[in-house]
Amino acid sequence: VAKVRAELFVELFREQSVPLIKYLTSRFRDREDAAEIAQEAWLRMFRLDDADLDNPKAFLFQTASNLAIDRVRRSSLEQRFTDATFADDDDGHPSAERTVAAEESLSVVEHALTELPEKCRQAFVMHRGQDMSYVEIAHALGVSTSMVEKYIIRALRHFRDRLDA
Amino acid sequence: MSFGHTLAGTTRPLAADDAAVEWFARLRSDAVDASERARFAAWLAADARHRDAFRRIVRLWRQLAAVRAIAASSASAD
Repeated sequence: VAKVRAELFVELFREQSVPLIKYLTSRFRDREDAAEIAQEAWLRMFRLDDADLDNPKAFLFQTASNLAIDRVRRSSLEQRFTDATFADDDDGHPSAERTVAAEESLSVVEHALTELPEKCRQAFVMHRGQDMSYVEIAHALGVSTSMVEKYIIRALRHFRDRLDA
Repeated sequence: MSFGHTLAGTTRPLAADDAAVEWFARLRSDAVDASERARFAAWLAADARHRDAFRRIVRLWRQLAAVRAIAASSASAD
């Protein structure tokens, strides 16, 4: 059964990975959000009951839709929460904690960045911070795209160690 | 591409976490073909530890949204 399931997954992924991203991008516009939601939806395919395997494609798109709706809801809640706490200083407790946590993680990331070799750091900032593609970064830094990919891998490993992820 | 060989091969399997990072970075490139997607799907399907490892990288990536603020502030400082 596990083998059949794995084969089914590979087949589904081959057919649907691009359509799913397109579907999510058309609904969200933000490519980064769409990619994240798609990844999560794929990972959830493994928690399926056999009953859901009748129509895995429908399940996949439904899961992705639900995740997308959740995210929109959550981000507008967060926005309202932030607006409310900034508007009313008396009730700023949770927001203060959040700010401290955010600042801590920002400084850890900032410090970890300085530990990377120059070009690796630049490549990572361009990709994660400025949404530049590997091709664009390769051009800007005068290296090959496969080198850019290696820089991204190296940076991610480094952050993984530093952020304890 | 040297690591692609390692990912596909069985001679020296990378630790799940390292393979997850490599797959994550590979899939963000502009040139991922259908056979590579299929290999990724097979890797993901092969082992629950692979899925856990990939999930951790996705989470790490989300945390690294902080880099956006750093990029913006260094751009305005220049």
